Amino acid sequence: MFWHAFYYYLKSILRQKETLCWTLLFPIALGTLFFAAFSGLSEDESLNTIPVAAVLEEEDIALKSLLEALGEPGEEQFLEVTYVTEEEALALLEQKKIIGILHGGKPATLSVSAQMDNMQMEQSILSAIVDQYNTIYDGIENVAMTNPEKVEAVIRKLSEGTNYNEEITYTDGTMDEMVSYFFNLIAMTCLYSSMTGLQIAIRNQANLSSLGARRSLSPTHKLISIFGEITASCLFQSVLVWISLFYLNFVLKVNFGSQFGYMMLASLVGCIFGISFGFFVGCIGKMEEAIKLGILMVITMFNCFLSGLMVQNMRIQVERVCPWYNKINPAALISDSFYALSVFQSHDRYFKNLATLFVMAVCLCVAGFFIVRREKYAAL
Amino acid sequence: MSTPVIKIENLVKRYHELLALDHFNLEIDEGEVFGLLGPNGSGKTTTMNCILSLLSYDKGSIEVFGKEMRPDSYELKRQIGVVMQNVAVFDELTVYENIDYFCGLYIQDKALRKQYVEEAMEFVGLQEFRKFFPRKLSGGLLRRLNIACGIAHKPKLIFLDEPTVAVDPQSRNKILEGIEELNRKGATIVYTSHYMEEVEQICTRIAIMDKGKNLAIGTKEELKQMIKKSEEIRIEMVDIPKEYLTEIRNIKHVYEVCFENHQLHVLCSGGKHNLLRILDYLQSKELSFGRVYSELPTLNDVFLEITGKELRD
Repeated sequence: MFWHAFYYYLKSILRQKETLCWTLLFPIALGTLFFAAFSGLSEDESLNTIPVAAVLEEEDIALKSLLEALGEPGEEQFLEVTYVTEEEALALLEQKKIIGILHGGKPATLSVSAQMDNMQMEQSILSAIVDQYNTIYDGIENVAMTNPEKVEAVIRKLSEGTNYNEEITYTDGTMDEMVSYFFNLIAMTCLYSSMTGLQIAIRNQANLSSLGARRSLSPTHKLISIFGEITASCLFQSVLVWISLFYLNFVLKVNFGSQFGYMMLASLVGCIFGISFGFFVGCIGKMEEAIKLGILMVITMFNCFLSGLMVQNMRIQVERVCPWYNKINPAALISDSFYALSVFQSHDRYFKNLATLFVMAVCLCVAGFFIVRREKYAAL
Repeated sequence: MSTPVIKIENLVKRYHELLALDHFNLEIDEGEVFGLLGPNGSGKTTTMNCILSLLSYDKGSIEVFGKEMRPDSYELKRQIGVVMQNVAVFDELTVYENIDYFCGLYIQDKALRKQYVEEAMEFVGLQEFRKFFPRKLSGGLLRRLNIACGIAHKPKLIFLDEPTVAVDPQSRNKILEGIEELNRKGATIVYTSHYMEEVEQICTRIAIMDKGKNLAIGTKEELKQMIKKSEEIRIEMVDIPKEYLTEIRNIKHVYEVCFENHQLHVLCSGGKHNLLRILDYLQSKELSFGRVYSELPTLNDVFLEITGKELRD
């Protein structure tokens, strides 16, 4: 009987266009929109190599080696340095071919043009480089004056520790904050599966639908039938979320890292929670389906908002004000599972989130079963 | 004496202040087509839902096939087929799949189930619509699908709750013929309706319900004998003097006479040859008359007289 219920509910849900729309087309469309918006944002904010002129004397060895390191050709080239005289440098600046002029000496100085308003960010970066150089140089000079024997060691230490432009990551994932929007999008899609949970509840209760009444008269145990339908729904919803994940990762090339299997598992648990949540809401009270659907959507979107679907730092704000809510907010738990996969090598936080979601799903399902198992009604 | 298929004793059901079933009693024997007749709100569907253990009740007892009916009486439920008032099918499944789904709730064997589903489709005349989705079916075809879903597993006891509501005459005839066919094949039928002509056509025994009470029970002939009126005579005439109306009223078995819109209207209670006696009287008075109508009482007359002649929605 389990497979009979499973087979026919799977067939039924496959033909429900609304479900396909909300669980497949909507996240794909929204994901594409996110991708288009964030790609533009990344391009706007990306830094090209900063052209700069350097006016150095022979004794400015340290500054020259720094500029050579930053100007080394390649993917991570930061500066495009032209070594010229003072006059030539001023001419280049006037022609706006460079952003600034670095002057050697003690301390090193930076000249920029007040007429280049649109290059303030690049000017700030150059200023920061010069400030940092002067600070380090002063430090070494002080050591040389007080402990000359330690100068070599200090310089060696600084050389080892200083890495100006190399990104270090501890996992295969990404620290790109924009990806968190996609994590939240997938979380929202998982929670949308609550709609099928709601449908299962309504179609199985005699006081909520004709189908429920008709099925209550059959010689089939209600819980077996419901369990078959919930299982079919979990499978179906998970596959839809996985399709969205595939699309985002392999078509749009959103960098989810290499732990795709774990992401699929998190989506499955997310869908199990979504369906259980919908089933529970469907089981309580005798309200119309539309009202219950409204309740589901309000709760889902509120949780997604608090987990950062609309505002990036929202989860951090919630953590400051009401930290316990992040620990039970299903949207936050799902997106945090993805985040944990991207950031941490250990899977502790990931599995903790999934366990919390699963326990909550089981509680909701059991509570729903207790309500549904009532087999006689006072009124239909 | 065989055990009744359904036995209800002293059943009381309340919806808050409203008394839906008031010490209701009923026995239905095997092989009957039993009609539960009553106006909307009289308690027909409530009775059915109590028998099927969908509704809880305040007092009384219900036995089906000699056993107490409970929500977990799966063996009893296996022998029961239900066609509900509201069509209860899956919109996303085809005609064949819907029947197969409901049949599958009762029959595990796939080969047997396939045979039953085909037979059910043939029975309600839906073979050519097997791949249609319910939304593509007309009201009549949808009702037939609803019936097929309820009877595909070949139950011994079938409940049909107003299965012909909003159905065209052609489909209605098909449905009624089908019900008689099911009965001929051995099923006991419980049929609820407020269409009196349907009940009169197919039911072997009828209970008339109102306000949750069983007002009368019997065969249609027995019910007709319970009321005063046994014949209604209408005669078209140009005019008739008032004193003649009084004389007609005094003819044996006549209990009501009136003349309206050039029509003499006479009600008789019992007796034979009432029409002949009235026509003889008119001829003796040399009164000319046109068309003559004589009607025996219908179930409608029985219902109207028993329920106080008021039809409520």
